[in-house]
Amino acid sequence: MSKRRPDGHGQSMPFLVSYRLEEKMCLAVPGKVVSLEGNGTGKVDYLGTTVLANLSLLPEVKVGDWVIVHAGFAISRLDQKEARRTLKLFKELEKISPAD
Amino acid sequence: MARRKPSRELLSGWRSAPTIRNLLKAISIETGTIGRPLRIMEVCGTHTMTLHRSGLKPLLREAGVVMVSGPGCPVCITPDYYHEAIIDLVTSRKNILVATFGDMTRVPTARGSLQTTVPAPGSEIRIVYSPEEALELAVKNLEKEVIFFGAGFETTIPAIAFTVKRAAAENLKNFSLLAALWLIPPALQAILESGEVAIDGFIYPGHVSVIIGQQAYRFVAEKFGVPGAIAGFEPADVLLGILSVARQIRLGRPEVANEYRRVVQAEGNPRALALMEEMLEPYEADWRGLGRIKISGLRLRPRFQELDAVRKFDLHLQPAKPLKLGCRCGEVLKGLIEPVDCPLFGRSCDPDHPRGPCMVSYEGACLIEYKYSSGGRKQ
Ligand code: SF4
Repeated sequence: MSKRRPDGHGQSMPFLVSYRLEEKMCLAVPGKVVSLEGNGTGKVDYLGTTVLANLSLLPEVKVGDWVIVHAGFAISRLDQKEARRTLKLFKELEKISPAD
Repeated sequence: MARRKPSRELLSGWRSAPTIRNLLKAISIETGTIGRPLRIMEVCGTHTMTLHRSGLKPLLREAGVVMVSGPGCPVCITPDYYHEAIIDLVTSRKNILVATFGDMTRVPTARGSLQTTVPAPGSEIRIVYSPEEALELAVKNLEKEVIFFGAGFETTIPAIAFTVKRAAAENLKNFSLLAALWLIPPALQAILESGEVAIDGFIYPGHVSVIIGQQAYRFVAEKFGVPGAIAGFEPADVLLGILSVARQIRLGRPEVANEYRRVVQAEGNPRALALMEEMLEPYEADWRGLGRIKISGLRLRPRFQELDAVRKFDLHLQPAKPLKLGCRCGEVLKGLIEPVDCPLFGRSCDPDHPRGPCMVSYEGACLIEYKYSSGGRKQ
């Protein structure tokens, strides 16, 4: 993709993961909580790559939840219902103003 | 396998080509009705990245929307003298360990960068990816003074506050924080009040909003009559935000829309906000390019002063005479110019030889422009 990658990270990773590793501070994609590890931490899976995250800012988080992790901390839980609602809206958009 | 399908759609549905086309079409219908091109500021550097990486900028231009980059890059808006103070310390004192995020080490200043600096014997500079890693370094290196030089917006601040709280609870004596912590809403207010740049609307940063919620931007709509929408970071997310702003303009009804509801709650993250309130106090901070802005920065409350590197090491965070590098980063951060308007862009300033922080940070508009526009040549 980019010829230059000044930090030299994430060379040949799949798109989502390299996006994650390259921009370590602001992770745009959600990961899935796969286990709770005690001490307020848990493992979060990004399509096969697992990271340990601090879950203290999301007291109600459970295994199976999707979360946004930033600087090592899970800061938000993905609301799947809202996600589906937006995806449905995209479909409706198609009906109202079909492209072309 | 059947159970996997919805999760995959939850990840990929925001990049589907038909959706992108439909959203662009809907946007162009709005701008067509409004009858003039719109200038919308994407506050956050990660949005700048989405726009470039997905090639949306030219398509939006065709749809009647010009996107302007804003101040949403913490590395970029942290003034040089923070770096200079820490460089002075690490070169003059033994057994100092400075821990900071990777791109902070490459910011060029009159005293060089943290990366090029030669620390005093026993002192060193380490790159960390989370504030907790800095804390672990302090636990493992009790003979050293570990300073976490942390730059960030509301997204990162709770993680830093949590870490400092832990250091206080564990009574860790060799850990301290050099806080370069900035708040987005006061910066937007400063940009609006200056009136230097005409903006029809804002795309609010999604993950800052995760923490501060929707109400924090209300003054933008109510006091300044400027529309805005909180948006996520996938291509369709950003377009949805832009569509919302265009609609608000057409209807003459500015508001704070939340187009990232799957991640952002209206009230933000209460636990994170409480933690920030407990540990930190607001003050009038000095931003690169934007200058002093009331209640725009956070620093440790006085009762945590033992953990405050500024007090512990008597750091002088005073604006020195700015080095005349010719860098126009400050204007880029205010949306006054585009990176390509800087005479140094792609000539004497590139990612290998950055002349300013906007070419260093992955959220910096100059670096993003350089990476995604065929090696920095003018388009
Ligand atoms: S191109 Fe380089 S010198 Fe010019 S504004 Fe950007 S960072 Fe500064």
